[in-house]
Amino acid sequence: MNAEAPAIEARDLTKRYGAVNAVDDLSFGVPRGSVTGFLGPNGAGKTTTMRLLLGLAAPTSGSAVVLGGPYARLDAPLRRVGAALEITGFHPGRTARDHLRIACVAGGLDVARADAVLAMTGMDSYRGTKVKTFSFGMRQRLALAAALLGEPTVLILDEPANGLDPAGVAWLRGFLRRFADGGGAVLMSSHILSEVAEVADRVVVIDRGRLVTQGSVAELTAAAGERVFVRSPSAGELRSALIREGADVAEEPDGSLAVRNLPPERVGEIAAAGSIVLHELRRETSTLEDAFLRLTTPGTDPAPAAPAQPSSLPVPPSRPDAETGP
Amino acid sequence: MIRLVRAEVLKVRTTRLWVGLLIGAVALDAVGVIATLAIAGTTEGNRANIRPISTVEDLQMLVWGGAVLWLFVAVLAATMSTGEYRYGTAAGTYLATPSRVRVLTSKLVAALPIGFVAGLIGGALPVVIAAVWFAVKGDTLPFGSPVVVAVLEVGLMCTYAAAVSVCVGAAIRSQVVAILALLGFGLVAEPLATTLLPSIKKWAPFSGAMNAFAAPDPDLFGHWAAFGLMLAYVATAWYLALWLEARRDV
Repeated sequence: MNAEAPAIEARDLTKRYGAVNAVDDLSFGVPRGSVTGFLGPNGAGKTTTMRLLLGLAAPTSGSAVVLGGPYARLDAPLRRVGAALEITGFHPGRTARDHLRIACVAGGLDVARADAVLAMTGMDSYRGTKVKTFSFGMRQRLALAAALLGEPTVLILDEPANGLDPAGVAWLRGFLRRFADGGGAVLMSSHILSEVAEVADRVVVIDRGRLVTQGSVAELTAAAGERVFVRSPSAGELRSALIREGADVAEEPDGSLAVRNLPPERVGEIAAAGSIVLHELRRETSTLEDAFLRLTTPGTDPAPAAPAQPSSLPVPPSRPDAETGP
Repeated sequence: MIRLVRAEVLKVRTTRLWVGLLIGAVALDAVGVIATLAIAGTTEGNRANIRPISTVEDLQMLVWGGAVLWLFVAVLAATMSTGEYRYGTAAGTYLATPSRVRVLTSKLVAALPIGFVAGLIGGALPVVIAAVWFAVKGDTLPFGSPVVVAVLEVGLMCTYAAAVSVCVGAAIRSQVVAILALLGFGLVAEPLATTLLPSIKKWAPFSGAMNAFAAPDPDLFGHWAAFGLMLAYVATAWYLALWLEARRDV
């Protein structure tokens, strides 16, 4: 197996349910030594893609490759890949420890690993407690514990931070960072974009089953561009002056103007040249959330004109049905 | 495969469902045995054609009545498969063992000893109750090796019920539907069909193949033919379950 090859790879992956393409010709890779955020609106196909990668669902076409081959062909898969999916459940009448012991026995692992991962995820005091008494966050910790049983080198996690308390989120962030720094590969879906921005090196964004973009977090936020916010008692006059200079100007709910295509210095100069009083002038760099919303919200421009999109970042595909909404 | 079978047995052991079902089934068995012992030889018993337990053959009949535990076994074995989908544990099971053939085969193999042990309990319980009953009355229990054989036959019947039910559960997936289908077929549909068409009785999965190991019935196959028929039903159910499971997404 080529060490440079992605640990996880979707190749032209398609999953069709009747007339609906849940995953549509999706290709992306997750390199070793990185945390890759897997983003998309609800119903974008993230969980389905993860199920395809893990062999829990069969693709209509294309292939899902984990560590060089299909998941089903992995020898001792729990030792290679750890997964926590939303669909993973627990028998309510079973204790946390029993749940993990069963996974250990089935996966050919030492049952002592059950106690080890319970301690690692802060669940050791609940080892004998039945799952039916667990909160959502505790179930999430148990799912993470199950994913870590075999000390895998690849993690596929579906919304792992959901339901975790702040301490749990901080632990998860640190753990994933150390895991990737140690050479592991993580594919993690999440709706908490600030968390993704903090921990992920790369992101894969999909919408309606199709790839929107993939690249580093820095590339994505840079591609989304920055905006200059300016507030003035003569907003109308300022707006006209800025548009004459080629700016893309939008009026915010609080009356301020959001300006693209011009740096704040130039905005200030234009205002000064027109003797327009300014009450506020500030630069705002795009966050991952801005970039995500711009890429996945119908009616927004998915590729702002400036700054120029880095060449390594694929141009989002055209979305002819964008106006119909998700 | 051995570790997978161990994991399946562990799944059953780590919930309390089997305890509740076993208590219910044993209670059902015990009530039937005590009622039989109580009315055997009385006017009501004679009217209901229930003979007093005076020979080894009479005790055998009592033992075969313990096969009622197949109902408990069928429900438990079906839940070994359906529970995976009811509680969403199927994903974890297939992440540990992606091969559906191995998972379903391990469930089938794990169900066999569970069914056999339950059957032994169901078959031995009437002997124990009868022994106590006779001891209290100061009589001697008509015990002999045919009684032991009958207990083993009840074990075999319950083993067969477990094997068929675990496959039916895997094929149907819905817990309620699978249990209703098994009990509805075994208790209602099959008896009705074999009453209306007696010629098909010997081919029936429960009242034919399974009951060939209970009270002698000239309308049923002999033991070896019935055993072959049982194997054919189990193999068919296993293959059908596997065929369906291999085409499903988890």
